[in-house]
Amino acid sequence: MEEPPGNPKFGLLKCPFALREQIVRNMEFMDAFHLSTLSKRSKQMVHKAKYQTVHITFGFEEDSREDHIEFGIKDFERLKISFSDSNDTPERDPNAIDGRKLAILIDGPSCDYRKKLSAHLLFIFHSDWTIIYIERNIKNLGDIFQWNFRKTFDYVRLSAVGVLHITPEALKSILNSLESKKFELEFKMDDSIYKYRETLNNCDILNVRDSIHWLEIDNFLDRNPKMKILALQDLPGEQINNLLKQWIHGKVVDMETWYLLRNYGYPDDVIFDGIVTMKTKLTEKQAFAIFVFWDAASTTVDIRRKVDGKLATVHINWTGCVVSMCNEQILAGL
Amino acid sequence: MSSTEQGTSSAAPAEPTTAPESAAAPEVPESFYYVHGKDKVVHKVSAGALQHSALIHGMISNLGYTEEQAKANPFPFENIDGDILQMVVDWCNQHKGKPTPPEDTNLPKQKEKLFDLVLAVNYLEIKELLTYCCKQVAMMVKGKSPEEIREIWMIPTDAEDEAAEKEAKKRAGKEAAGETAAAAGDAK
Repeated sequence: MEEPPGNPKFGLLKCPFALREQIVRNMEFMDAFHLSTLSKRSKQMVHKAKYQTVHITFGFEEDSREDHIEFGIKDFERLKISFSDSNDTPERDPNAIDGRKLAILIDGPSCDYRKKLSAHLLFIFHSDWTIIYIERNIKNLGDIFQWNFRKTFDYVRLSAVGVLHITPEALKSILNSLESKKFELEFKMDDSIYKYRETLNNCDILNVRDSIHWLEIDNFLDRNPKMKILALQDLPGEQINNLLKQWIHGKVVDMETWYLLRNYGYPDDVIFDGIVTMKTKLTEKQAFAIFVFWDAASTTVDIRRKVDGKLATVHINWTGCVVSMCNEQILAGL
Repeated sequence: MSSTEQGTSSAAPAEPTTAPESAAAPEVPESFYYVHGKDKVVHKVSAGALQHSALIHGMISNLGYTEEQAKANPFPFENIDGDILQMVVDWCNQHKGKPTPPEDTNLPKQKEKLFDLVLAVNYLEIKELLTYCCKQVAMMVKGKSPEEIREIWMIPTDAEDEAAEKEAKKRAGKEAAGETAAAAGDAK
């Protein structure tokens, strides 16, 4: 049949809600974005359709002109939107869609285009993973991006290809303006006095490398009861001892594993100072399954939590000190 | 393709022209059901083809009709145009007992019918065909500018939405006032 001239019409809003939403979910990513900019109703429609992306990644590069947001769309397709702070077009990434042009389409008060666009994108699109990569000092992250619904991210990484030097102000701004299930913090901090004493809300995996002295260990488990996995590099032995005592004398928390890594390991007497240890109940085979680099010649002991009698196994070898609080689950999984 | 016959819902439909049965086909005779749309044209469709429609499949399972009862009581879909129901029945027949391919070339191409088709398919709960239809509707705006999308999908502006809402409220107010007046008149 011959197509009639002009664009054929389709009364989308006359369709039942569930049908509209299914149509939206079948749209191309940019088409769905364009639809969301047409009216308040169309914005809500795209939001309610739960258009799913694989990941939404905010990238704050060493050079702020290269800042971007990247979407992982179905079928491994990726789409990059420039969030450069430069207004100079030639300085903006030619391989990325210009975020300024997209922000113009969005109704709302004129403000920093990045604030407007990031809020809109986070509202209309859903993703399995919402990620932030930060490669420079940002003291005003909360102001620029106004994570106005205090969204919990899945993964925040503070790290650079070279060595990243972070100031206490930037670290505080980043950690206080973001919530994330996983933090990976790999940077150097020259200020040897500063301590971060606040709670990492909703964080269950914390990975710290390069500088560790900024992390306040006193009352750490009380402040962060949701923490499950700790991977801390070069934490002094006395502070590991402090952490172990917090676990033994503390409330029930769902800790799983601590990877406290340091080349050549730690001396037993420092780690277990004032701690009652017991011969481990694990067999060699079980210990080998639980501790990846288990070394039969090194120390493996059990410790017991006061409040409920739960056991944890501490293994110290040439890679550092590994503590497993979830032996039963690991062994059951095997 | 199914054959159809003009007439009332109780009219005896002609036998369907189905694809020749293969030698390996089971000997058990296939049961048939009957459906009609707004135009009352009755379509005879095999139970196998109707499996695609969750709605009809559910109706069949609950009714436990015999062939004779089914013939005497075609399922009425008064909200579906006859030509649209024909397209749906054709699609169900073509895909009877077959896995549906990721891209379906048998989907009707008439864009002007797409709106009615997608509503019918949604109503009849034909999951695979609905997926194709939704893709086709989504493709209508592929690569279009926001204003082109507005035009194709007839999306009102905020101002138009607000005006329509005001108008609806005004109308509802008038209707409520009319009902109150009528009730007062009745009381007198």
